[in-house]
Amino acid sequence: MSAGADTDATDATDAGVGRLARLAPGVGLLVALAAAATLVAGVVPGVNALLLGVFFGAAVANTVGVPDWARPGVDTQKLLLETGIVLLGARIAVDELVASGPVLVALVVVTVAAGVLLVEAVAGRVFGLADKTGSLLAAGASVCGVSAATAIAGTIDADGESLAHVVAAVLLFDALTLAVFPIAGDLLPLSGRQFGIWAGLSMFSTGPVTAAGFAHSDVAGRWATVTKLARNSMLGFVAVAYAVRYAGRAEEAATGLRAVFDGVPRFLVGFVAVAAVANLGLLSDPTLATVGTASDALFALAFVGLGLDVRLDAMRETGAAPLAVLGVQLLTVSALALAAVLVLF
Amino acid sequence: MRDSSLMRDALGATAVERAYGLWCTLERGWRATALGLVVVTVLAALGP
Repeated sequence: MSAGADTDATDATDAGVGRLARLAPGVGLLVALAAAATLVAGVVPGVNALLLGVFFGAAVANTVGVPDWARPGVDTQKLLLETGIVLLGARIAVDELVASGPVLVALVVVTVAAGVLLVEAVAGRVFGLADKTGSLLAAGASVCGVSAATAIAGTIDADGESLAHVVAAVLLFDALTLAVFPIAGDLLPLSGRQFGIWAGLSMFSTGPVTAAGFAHSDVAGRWATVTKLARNSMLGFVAVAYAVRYAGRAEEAATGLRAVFDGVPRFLVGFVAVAAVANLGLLSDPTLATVGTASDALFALAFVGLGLDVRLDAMRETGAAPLAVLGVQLLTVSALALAAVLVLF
Repeated sequence: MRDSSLMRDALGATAVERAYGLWCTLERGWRATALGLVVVTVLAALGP
């Protein structure tokens, strides 16, 4: 190795240390707010620590704001959420999942297809929105929230302003459903599995679905996450459908398989791997318990980050029509999903 | 310099640097997968 190579290696180490140092303050803020939420929930009966963490985050973001020094660490919240989901694989009973699998997958496919078609039908004709704005709303509401809207915007070459309005509308509904679904879960006579599947089929984004599920119960949290992951995996199919629709070219279909693969969330690989290792009996019970605790801790930090990303001022700039479209989609899909869950599970 | 390189490999320093280099090229979902698998492996190795 040359002296130059040694210098490069040292630079790489320094860069890694510098990167961690930039993340530390924001991660510290997440830890502090999650700890405060846990403490308060421990002394106030009926208060859920996960939801309180989201509320604390939103309160900070919309009063004093997120300081610049904390932003890099706070931005790790999606990585924390996805790592928590990977570790959640250790708590998934594969035999139980396989037993419900075909019905659940069929329900996910029908729900996503119905949601997309419903929004496409009403966005332009009833609410006068442009075709591409309607498509972004359809993908965001029916597949996986902001991630889906952003992915489809690239596929159909939508303009930035349309995407910004759709993102703001989806985030507003994320906050709304995160408040309403846990209350509905307490009022409706649903088991943990039923509530989890219902939330996983109806709510828009992965973070709020996971938070609402675990706010109800551990069982609900696991089913909500699995159901939502199945929905997220539909992104590739929806992207191919939109590519063909907007491009109108046969060659777009030829790249379909690649697009379907690209639409599958990569952390699903880790989730399946951990679930396989756990269900093969390769991990002891104490190790499984520790992995579960680590997953819970990552969720607690991620949900505070979710709150810190809530921007009420940005949501106020959303037009009425996108909100109305999402409202119609949510009410229709959640009502149908609730009926299906009550009958099938 | 070659001896220096071997020593760095023995100490695991270059392995860490290679891992960091790889980390920088990964998209978020793969990072979550890698982190999750590392956590499970470490806990399994440390556990009873």
